[in-house]
Amino acid sequence: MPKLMRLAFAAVFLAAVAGLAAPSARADVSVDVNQGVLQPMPIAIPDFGGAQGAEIAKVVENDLEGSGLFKPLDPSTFQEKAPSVNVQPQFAAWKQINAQALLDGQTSVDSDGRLKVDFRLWDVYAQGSLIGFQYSSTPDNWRRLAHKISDAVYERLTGEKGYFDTRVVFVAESGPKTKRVRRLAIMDQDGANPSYMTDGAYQVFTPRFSTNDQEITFMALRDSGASIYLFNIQTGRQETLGHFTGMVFAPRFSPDGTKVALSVEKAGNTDIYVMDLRSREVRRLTTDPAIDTSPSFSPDGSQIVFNSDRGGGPQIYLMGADGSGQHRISFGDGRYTTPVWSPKGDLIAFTKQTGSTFHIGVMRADGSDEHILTTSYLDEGPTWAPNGRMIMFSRETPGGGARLWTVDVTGRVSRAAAFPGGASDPAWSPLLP
Amino acid sequence: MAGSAALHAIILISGLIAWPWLTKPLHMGDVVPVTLITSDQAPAPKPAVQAPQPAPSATEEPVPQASPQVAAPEETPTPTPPAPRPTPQPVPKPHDAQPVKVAPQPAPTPTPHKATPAKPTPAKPTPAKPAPELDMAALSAELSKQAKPSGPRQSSAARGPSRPEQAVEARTSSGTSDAVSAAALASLSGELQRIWNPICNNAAASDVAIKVTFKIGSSGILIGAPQSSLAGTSDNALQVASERAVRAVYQHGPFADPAFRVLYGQNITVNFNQKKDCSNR
Repeated sequence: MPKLMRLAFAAVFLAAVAGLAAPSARADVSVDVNQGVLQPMPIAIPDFGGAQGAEIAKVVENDLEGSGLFKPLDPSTFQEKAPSVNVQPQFAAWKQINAQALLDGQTSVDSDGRLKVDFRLWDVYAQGSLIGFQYSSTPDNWRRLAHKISDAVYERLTGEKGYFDTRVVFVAESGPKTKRVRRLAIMDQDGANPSYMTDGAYQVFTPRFSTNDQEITFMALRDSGASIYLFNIQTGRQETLGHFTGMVFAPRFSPDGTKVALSVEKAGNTDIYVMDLRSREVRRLTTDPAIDTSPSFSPDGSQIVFNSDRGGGPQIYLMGADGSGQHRISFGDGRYTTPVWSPKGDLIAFTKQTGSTFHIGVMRADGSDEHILTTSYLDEGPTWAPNGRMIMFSRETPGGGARLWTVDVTGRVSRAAAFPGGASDPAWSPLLP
Repeated sequence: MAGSAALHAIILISGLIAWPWLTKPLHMGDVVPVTLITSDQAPAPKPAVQAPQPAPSATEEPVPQASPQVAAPEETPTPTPPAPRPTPQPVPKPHDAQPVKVAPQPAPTPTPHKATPAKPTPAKPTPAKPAPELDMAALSAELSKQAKPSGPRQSSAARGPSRPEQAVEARTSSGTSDAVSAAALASLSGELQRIWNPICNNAAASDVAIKVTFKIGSSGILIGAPQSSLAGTSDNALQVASERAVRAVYQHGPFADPAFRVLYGQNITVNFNQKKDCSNR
């Protein structure tokens, strides 16, 4: 009997132990979430401490907001006013205003007079540091420092390279339509630091950036004829690619920067040629009697997308970089022009005209999945940001001049570029060194 | 006077028109400077030495949130048992009223009706007294001896319920709890769906499913950090996708809705399917 009792007690004891352990032994359960909500990420960017700290924070805020992927929060809601860059912030205070990320920073001037910016990006919910860097440069270069910070934040929070520390060359237009002056101009991608590079003595068309260098090619039209220029904006070196009999236009660099593809009109027939920039040897790629123009290399340099009306109206075609295998890839209604291959290689941007309206659109490199991004009285001339996510183009309104606009590849985020004058034909630079 | 005003206006307007161009007149051949920027890793951040100090003054959420998270692991194992403990107080009564010593006698089989009609378990604590006399080593040895013949039975009986629970879906042990769990999971899925901000702009990240595993404590707060199946990946886009899935779980917390109580203490795995989400866009 006592033995039985002891056994009973033991059983109770063991059962109790098992009961205590029960929660940890409880089973796994799982559930699928197959749909989310694509929305800009709320990010808090308090003014950086130190000289020009507030200005730098503003530039970063503007960059990130312009991408459409971030929603900078209103500083008046911040509860922790001046977080120190090297001390963990009060995460709960940032959670309260729904910030998912926090960027804080501090500027200082080194003994050699260089402006140094320390900054750190925090994950508010995981309560940890995501990145922390120090950038330094000359004090007058503070905007570039800000853009570099924007790029670092963008890359860390989206997983792909940024595009903020870049410039845009374009044609600045002024004067009446009948006597329009077209000058080559350049500005930061956010519209800051605009400046002319030509004086208006001749007309400038189709400027294009090299994809890996600070070099520009463009067409200059004088009374004596057209010529193609090369201009390195970093060194100031300039040269022409020689005079062509007939019209030359739409030059564009190969991805490795060693060649330029362009259109040349001879005896009323426009075809695509490629010039080797070292040997200056020119090779003809198309021979069709139709107009073949607007060549653009694929990022790996193996293919060229171009525009041709050989099928009766302007459509988009593809060929090997040696001119082989020419075939049409656009089959929609309307007129397709100015195809430009994305730096990522996945998409081709184009201008499309349907009836009296113009669009900027994208399609896959095989012509499938056409997606219209914009619709307007006159949208044309797309150019890709180096990360292949944003497109800049020119938009003209009835009675107004041309302006530069940007749109993201989804078509959801579109806004006018912060440039006050008439502008067209933009070309986006690669990331600055 | 009017002439002067007009003159000023003209100067002002022409100034405004010329403004962007007068800042930096460049000409073909001029150099557009590209000043190199040097970069370095920032020093490691100091722990939140100062942060917690100001926090209390603000009487914000941080304090309550911070402490329960630390204490949470202790909470889960004993969700409500601490409360019943007061009930064992009835046990002392038997002390006072010594006749209750009789209790052990009825304990063997018949009398449980009288002593503890509604709470048979509190009655069990009474053996707490004999416990000191208990030789646990001998008992367990004895138990194991007796267990040997019926060993297979015992183990299957004890572990039986926990095994099927490792299935992918909600628990299936009983019909009602199964339904409740399924409802809770469906509710959880719906709520996370409204929070999760996937990233579809990268081909690699658009083609993955991220499993995030976490546990909810008794008060609905997360216990520990949610773990992602992609944690530690070297691919930037996948890392970001993983962080966004984890962030959705963090952002949802606390899981205080009574509907989620059935999930408390369980390992919950949420399968954030970017492949499906991104392909639908």
